[in-house]
Amino acid sequence: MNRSKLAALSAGAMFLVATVLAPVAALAAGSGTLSLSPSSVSLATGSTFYVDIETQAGVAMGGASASVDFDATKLQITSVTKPALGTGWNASGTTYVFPSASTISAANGSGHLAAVAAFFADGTSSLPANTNTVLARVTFFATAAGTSTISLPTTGADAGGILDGTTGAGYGTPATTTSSGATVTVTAGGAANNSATTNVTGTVDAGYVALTCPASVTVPLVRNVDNVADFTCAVGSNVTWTLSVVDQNTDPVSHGYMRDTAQNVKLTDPLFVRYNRQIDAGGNVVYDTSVNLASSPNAQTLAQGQNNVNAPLTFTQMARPIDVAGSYGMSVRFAVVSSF
Amino acid sequence: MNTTTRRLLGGFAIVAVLGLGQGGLVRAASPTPIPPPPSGPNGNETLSVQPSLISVTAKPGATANVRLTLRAAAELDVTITSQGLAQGTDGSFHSVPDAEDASAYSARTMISATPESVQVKPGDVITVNVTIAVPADVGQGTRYGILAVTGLPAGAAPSSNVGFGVELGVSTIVQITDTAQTKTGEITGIAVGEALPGQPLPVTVSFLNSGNSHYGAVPNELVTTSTLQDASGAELATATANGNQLSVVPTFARGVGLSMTPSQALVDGATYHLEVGVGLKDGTVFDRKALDFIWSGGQVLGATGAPIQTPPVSAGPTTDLALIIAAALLGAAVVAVLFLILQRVRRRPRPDVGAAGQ
Repeated sequence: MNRSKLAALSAGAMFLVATVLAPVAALAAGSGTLSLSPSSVSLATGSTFYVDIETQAGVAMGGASASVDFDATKLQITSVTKPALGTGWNASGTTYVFPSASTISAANGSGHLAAVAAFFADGTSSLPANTNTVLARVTFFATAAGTSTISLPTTGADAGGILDGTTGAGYGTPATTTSSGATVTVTAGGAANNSATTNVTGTVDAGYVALTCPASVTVPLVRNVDNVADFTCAVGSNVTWTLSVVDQNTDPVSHGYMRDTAQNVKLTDPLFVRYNRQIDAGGNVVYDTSVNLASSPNAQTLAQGQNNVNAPLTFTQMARPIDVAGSYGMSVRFAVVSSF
Repeated sequence: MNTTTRRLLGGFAIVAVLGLGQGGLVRAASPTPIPPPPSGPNGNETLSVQPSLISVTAKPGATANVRLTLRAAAELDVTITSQGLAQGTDGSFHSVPDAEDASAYSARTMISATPESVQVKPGDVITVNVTIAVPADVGQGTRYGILAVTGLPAGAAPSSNVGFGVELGVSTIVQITDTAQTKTGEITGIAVGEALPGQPLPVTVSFLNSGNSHYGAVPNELVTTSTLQDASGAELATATANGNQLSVVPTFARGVGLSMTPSQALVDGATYHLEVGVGLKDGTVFDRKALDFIWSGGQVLGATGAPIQTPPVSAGPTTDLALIIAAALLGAAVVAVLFLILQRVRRRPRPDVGAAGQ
């Protein structure tokens, strides 16, 4: 076989694949586009602007994802937000995948933001075909002068795409997706380039921490007994957290002990705060964590967790025969700190 | 090789390349379903704050402003103070006051809040303006702090003998832009716990972040590996701990727990060799250390430091990306081999061509 015949055969095989196999895949999922609006922005350094990530497909859409490439030496992302409720992809039944604050922070170093997506989890719902639909709004802060582009990659790692939402077996298959970006021209001056107001409430979406504890609890003080009082503090959060506790009395002599301030005396034994009482295989009462409030002047860890937890807590207080009769009390502080 | 065989090989090569490409596109274009996050605070909590984390990037000398929203369901005296961030060896986060904030990477003095104190009633929603002023001579890396929102009962004295206050800590990360984010670390200890026959061997690796930015969050996920060998060098067990839940803040050490399940029970009086390594998921290796120990009665009888023997246990990518890359390399190798075969076939003298030339 001569070279020209071989080339012809190879070309024929490529044509076969291109004309038969590829169109079959394309017909199965349709095609769509990811785009940025506006496609051109001009502003001064120190200014803030936004671009909307928009999706459109020739078929109904069951999901969409996008990553954003930008010049981190000239632009910094300050927030990524959903469209208003009931508009764009923020429709009833969609689930959003949004970048965390730390992901945005990392993106501002690398120039690549991943993980912006929305989809219908029920496997049947969709948004209509041939309709421009906003996926998310990305707000940038212009840090340096020059022209740069913001693009939405559709190949490579973290590529964006649109999922076919046509009812049937093809639901969820990737549509052939192309994209168009935006050009940003930043001129020097105009706005101060060393100060920015960043509304982090937007960038971290619903990130929050909350704590609900009873206003007070009565610990019985029966002599010769390790007195027990159960209560619950509710940690509300959608991030990881540490729950800790400390006696608010900072006097090193009596820190961690219930006191009778009128008589200036304290109980012999410190107050313990314990987390998650259980019965072990031997029938013994055990706790995940036991904190002796007198053992450290600082807050001590009771538990670490993620999302909402009703923390089952217990005070235990021994009252000795030698303890002075009186009215003892204490004020403790429970703290929840978000972690990363 | 005849013409039919060459046609088939050529077709396979093309389909292999296109198939790999299609696979990559399908994988990349699919959004990953995750459970929706819980809803935000409903205002019925004793005290809530949103957002839970402040993360800003700023140049030396720059100022950033952030707003927090407080909600209260009780009458409280609320104070907002900037404190240091301390991390326990178990990974827990705590706020520490000025006197105990010894970290060179503290953002405590950069952070201020307005108002600093406020009295709230049930149903109140308060906006707190937080200013982060980065000194011009801040240095390199990232700085950390906690904005502590403390609520103490403002009403009558509690009716019971133990009263409660609540505190919410908003962790704060200030990455200094245009400065080196140094990533280094050191294994400061290896501890082997007790284990009954047949039970996993607990190993704790203490890792100190000696760099100037934290590990744990994507893309700096920490990976800790360990390998257990017997005296002959035979591998008995390996274990790996990774993920983005293993954050370590600069200047703090964290104990990383590993559970090793030996392929055969440890023998009393025998010597074993344990090697551990800590690095990042991208393949960066921070430190490796080894320990020789004698096992007796379900615990370590004696242990000494030992030289590293095995090559680094890969801390490289373990995600689907690794599979994609491996598949791409394999595909490329197949195509290259096929190309070489085709070339050799072309070069082979053919009797019919030779006869025509004569």
